Amino acid sequence: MNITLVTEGTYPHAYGGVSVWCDQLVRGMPEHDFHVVALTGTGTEALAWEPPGNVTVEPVPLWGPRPPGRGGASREFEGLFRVLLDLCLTGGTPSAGELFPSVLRGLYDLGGLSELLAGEGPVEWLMAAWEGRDLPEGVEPTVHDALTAISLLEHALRPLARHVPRADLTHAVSNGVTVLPALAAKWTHGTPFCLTEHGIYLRERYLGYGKGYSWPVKALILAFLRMLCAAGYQAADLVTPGNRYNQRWETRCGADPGLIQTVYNGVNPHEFPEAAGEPDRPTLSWAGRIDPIKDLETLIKAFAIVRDDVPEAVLRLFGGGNAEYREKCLKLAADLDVTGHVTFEGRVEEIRDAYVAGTVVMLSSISEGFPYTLIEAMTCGRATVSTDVGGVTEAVAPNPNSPEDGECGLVVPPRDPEAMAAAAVRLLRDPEERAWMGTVARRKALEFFTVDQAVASFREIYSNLASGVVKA
Amino acid sequence: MTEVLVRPLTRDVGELAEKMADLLASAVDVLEVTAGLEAEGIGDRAARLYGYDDVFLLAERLYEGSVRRPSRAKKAANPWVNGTGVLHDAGRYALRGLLFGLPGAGYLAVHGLLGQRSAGLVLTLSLVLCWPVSQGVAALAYSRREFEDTKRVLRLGLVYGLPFMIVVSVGIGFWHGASAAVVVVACAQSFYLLSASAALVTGGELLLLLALLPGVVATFAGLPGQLLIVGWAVTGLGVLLIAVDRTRVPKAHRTANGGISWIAVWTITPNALFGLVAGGLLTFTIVSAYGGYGAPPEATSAAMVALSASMGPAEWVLYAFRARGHELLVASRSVREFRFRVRLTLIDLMGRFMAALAVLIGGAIVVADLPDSSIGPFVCYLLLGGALVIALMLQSCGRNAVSLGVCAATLALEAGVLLVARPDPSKVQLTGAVVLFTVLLVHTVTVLGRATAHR
Repeated sequence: MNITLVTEGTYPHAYGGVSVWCDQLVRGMPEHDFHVVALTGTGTEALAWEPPGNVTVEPVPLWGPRPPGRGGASREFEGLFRVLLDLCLTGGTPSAGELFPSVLRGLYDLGGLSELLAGEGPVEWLMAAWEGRDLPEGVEPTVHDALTAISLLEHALRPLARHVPRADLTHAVSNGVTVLPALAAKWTHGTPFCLTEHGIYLRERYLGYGKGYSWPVKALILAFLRMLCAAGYQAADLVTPGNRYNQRWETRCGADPGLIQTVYNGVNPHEFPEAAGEPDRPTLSWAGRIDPIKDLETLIKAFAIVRDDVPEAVLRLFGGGNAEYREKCLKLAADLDVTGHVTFEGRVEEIRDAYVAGTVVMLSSISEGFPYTLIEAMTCGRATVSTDVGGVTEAVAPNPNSPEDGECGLVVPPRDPEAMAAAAVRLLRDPEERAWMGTVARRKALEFFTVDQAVASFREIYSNLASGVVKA
Repeated sequence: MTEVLVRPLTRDVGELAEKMADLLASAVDVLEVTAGLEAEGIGDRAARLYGYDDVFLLAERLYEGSVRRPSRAKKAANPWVNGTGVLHDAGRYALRGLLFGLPGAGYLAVHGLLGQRSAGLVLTLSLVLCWPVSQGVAALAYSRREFEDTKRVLRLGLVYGLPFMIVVSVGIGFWHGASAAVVVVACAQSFYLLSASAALVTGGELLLLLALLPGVVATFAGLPGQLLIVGWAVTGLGVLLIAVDRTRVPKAHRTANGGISWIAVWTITPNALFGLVAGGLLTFTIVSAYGGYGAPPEATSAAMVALSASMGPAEWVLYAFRARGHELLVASRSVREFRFRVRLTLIDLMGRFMAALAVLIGGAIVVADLPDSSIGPFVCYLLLGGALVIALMLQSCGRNAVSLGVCAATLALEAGVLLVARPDPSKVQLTGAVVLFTVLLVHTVTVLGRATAHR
């Protein structure tokens, strides 16, 4: 089977959970040929992953030089684009659900979109469209706003400029601009498509565009992305989120609940054998990318509280990332007088070592999909304390095959140091509960969260979609 | 269902609305509020503590109960203003102008050589051929975001560009039967151009001025031959030290973007070609003279030195235009208003530049004590200078093709007319300058008046 796998800013040009998942998928199904359409920045990014023999890679830069096209103004383009602007500025009325995809297809059929959008016309039309609108108090769009918004649209629509080869299936690895090649393949060849979301693309864009852009630009682009995501959900033959929690956003934004099938991430059990023994000192360990979204500040605050009850406890943080945020965390540790007890260990060759290093493994994120760090720690047989985000509660919920075993980890609300500290102290003080929780966590992970299961699920999904069977 | 270990807290929607006031005031819709709440750790479970079934309903309640009043986005910094102040900028651009003009003293120092067979032609051709190399390297270096990458590109430009230019100069010298001394001067000229580019791109203007002083002072003080050589040797050594220092990148600071790819070379090719064509336009009468078409007007050298010095003010004009263009984009509430105001700005700045250039050329002609017949070269170089600045403005706004195309077409037409009809080269150059300036000005006022030219 020829499968077009569409990624954005991840596999094979960047590291991270989604890239790990893609790599597992393509390596797990050597019987299929994967053509990875990688939406990248400039197109000059180096490969972070060495793709296996069944994979070809086509980088599609969103920010490099403009793709060629005939340019100039056409009445048809003007008509379609003015409708698109109108849809974006009305904030997506109920009729937008039907109109938006047809406008998008009309623009795709015209071709040469980038050149058409580079002209002066779109800027003038947007200024004119803003003129007649009821905007919030104090909002007065400028030419700079119009230029910025049109430029963002032009870059976002670049995936439509590529030639669409025939394939048996398109698999988009997130919503948003990633679904554009999938939509184009569906319009051109009737290719079925599967849409997987690990996080929620739209939610992340809301958070991203909330800062840095003026209100008119933000409103227009987010309306466009909201309609694009809705079009993606509606056109997908199957939506496969990485956790059930994501379904709330997906159905809210237009996905048919009957066409959603959750497929959990999985890990290779051979890479995460059961940890033997515990560290000598009571240790809280954390692994991941150092970034504000991981909310290490709450973890450090919680740790300071933990030390009141368990004075010999230490906190070890594994991973690289945002140096500025790391400094902020170090300053917080100093302010809380726990400097010598909190250590940033940097990256480790084997991530398992980070889990084994902890008596309890912590996850403090304010946003997650279905975190690999959690299921990897569970596979190692470690007790965990995690925040209630994304699919965390699904991961640590009692094993449905043996519910009497109880929870496979403790869950606390995000941004709540006291609750997190209480949970950590409970586990640090109770070796029996800790050991039992680690045992049942490993048992559940081996039963439900292995890479073989994830790959087998997609093997079946691919087969069904390619043969026209949709079974969620 | 997994138990979440929450503490018994009373949750009040009013308090939450107060806490999320900034988000609510600037939210574009309910989903933005939902995303913001989730980012604060308020999911479905927390929403239930506020009395709502899920976070979407809580967000709806908050959105509907608040008024949209977005705070003005923090004004983004103007990318064309470096914030060092008007006086500092004026001084810097004047200094750069001086640095563009001062190397002319080198030709005075070697005027004895210029009397030799083909010497002027060899020096002119190697100069014109080195321009595209130094322009291209500078454009490539400016395109790098990291300063260390900029320096590495300049180093590569020197390492590969200088040997290339030495081969070219030796080839031209050999072809025209020039003496070894002339070829050495031609090579030194290329070395200076590439090193000066490195200094100017990396902000080493003062160092370059210091390096130039010994040679320039020795020349204008009329020191005897050997002292003159010592003066220029010290200058050469200084320039070498600057070149090494300004392009040195410790191994530990090297990044993956420090190299030069073929794509990057392709991207800056128009800049490099423009350097070549501009050189051809400026030296048209000088090169023609070696082809047997009659001597160039006496004021040509003085006008060219003045024009070189005017490149400092020209840079100021370029930055001022881009900076003002950005300000107008941010301030204009309609495209029509923007067009009108940016075109006025363009005409205003060009007027100021032409006035400054007229003073410089006129001054150079007076200082050189040249005859009254200099009006032709005066007008010609004034218009050529104006045309080149307009072309650079177009380039800075990403309109490379037209500026390069019109300049190249003018040069080709001038050469064609000269070859076919053999008229006075200075008249051909003057006519070309009038046409070039007029066409580019009209085109630029039209094209750079558009908002999309100022992305």
